[in-house]
Amino acid sequence: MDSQQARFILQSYRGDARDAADPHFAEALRQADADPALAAWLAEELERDEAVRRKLRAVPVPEGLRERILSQRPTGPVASARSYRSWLALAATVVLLAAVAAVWLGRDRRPVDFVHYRAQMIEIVQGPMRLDYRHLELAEVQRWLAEHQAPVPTAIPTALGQEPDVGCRQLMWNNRPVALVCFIGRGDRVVHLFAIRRVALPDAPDSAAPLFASVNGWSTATWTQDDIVYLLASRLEESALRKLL
Amino acid sequence: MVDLDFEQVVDMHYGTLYRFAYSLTRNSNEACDLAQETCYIWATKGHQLRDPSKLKAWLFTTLFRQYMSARRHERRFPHEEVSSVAHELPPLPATVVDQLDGDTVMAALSEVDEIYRVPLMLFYLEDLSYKEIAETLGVAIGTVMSRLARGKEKLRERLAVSAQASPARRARVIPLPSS
Repeated sequence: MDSQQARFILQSYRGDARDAADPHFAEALRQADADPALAAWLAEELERDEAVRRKLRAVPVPEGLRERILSQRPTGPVASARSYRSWLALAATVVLLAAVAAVWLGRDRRPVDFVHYRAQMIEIVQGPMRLDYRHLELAEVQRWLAEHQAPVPTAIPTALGQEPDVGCRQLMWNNRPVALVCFIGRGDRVVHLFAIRRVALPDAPDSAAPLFASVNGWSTATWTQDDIVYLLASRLEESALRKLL
Repeated sequence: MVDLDFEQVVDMHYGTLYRFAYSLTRNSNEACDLAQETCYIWATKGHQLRDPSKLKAWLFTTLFRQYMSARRHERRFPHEEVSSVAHELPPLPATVVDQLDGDTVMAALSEVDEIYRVPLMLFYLEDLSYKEIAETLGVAIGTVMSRLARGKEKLRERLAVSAQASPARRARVIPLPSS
């Protein structure tokens, strides 16, 4: 493989652990390690990709689209999407009025309790996921989160803090910031730690000792410390998760 | 079977579905319709999805199929062999991209041929891997890699033009050298 072929392959590389483990990229990445010019090109490519990604994700979504979509949740037999649209305009008007009324009354029916928070956080890490920042030192990841006004998880269990690779991502839940820290261990073992300020999740368990639960095949542990609610989630067995705490 | 609440799915994905649809249609109203139809299909057929990790790919596949169906002239993308990018891409540091707003970047992307634009949006917007993009579009992995490489080249050319035209760039940044 020459440098040009490596560049071609690495144009599909997302720059994180998910792709680094892909044999398709392995040889090209090894070549980049040995070729400073290729490494510099790759660094620039990934940085530019991230800039484009940020910009595209900043494109605003029309106001009311969410409510419009939620209004169409079917309750009866399935109609065709096209025929559905004919009455949807009328329904949208009704729902728009309802939405205005709900806002006026200060009601938000979206579930904002701990159970939904936990389910949604697990859903986020179930699929492919991008990390905003990655470093070998946990302290650097914590510093990055602090700089970005995210909740900073400081109550990190010692065993977890010794994992060799750490990455993080900023999330929003119910308009509140959430910090996601991913501890990437040997053998691609990944443990995800979510941190959200307690004020955003008043019904979260108020326990400094971890409370364990299994959710959709994921082992989780939850605890609260220093006004931060921690949620640990992993595909590991609960017994293995306990050893990290 | 995937046991996900409809509202959760909507909350997590309607924004990116809209942006993907907007990149396809270049029309906000049509993009809203496509995002809405996709969520509707999820509500009625989502129970057929067995693997939760495939949810995003399922949604984007569905939206793309809806879009293609609506166009009524379903031309299949010609298969392309994997090949190397023949020439150097124009220089475009990330700092220059950062000076552009999201609409400008989207507009530049909209000028890229659809055959390249669609995989680029899946790559950038929802972080799909080249394998997931291949699955979503129903094309070979090599074809996706080729389209990503060529699409990035074309997007970069257009972004460079946009950056030159940007008032902020004209005022603050030295123009890019032509390559």
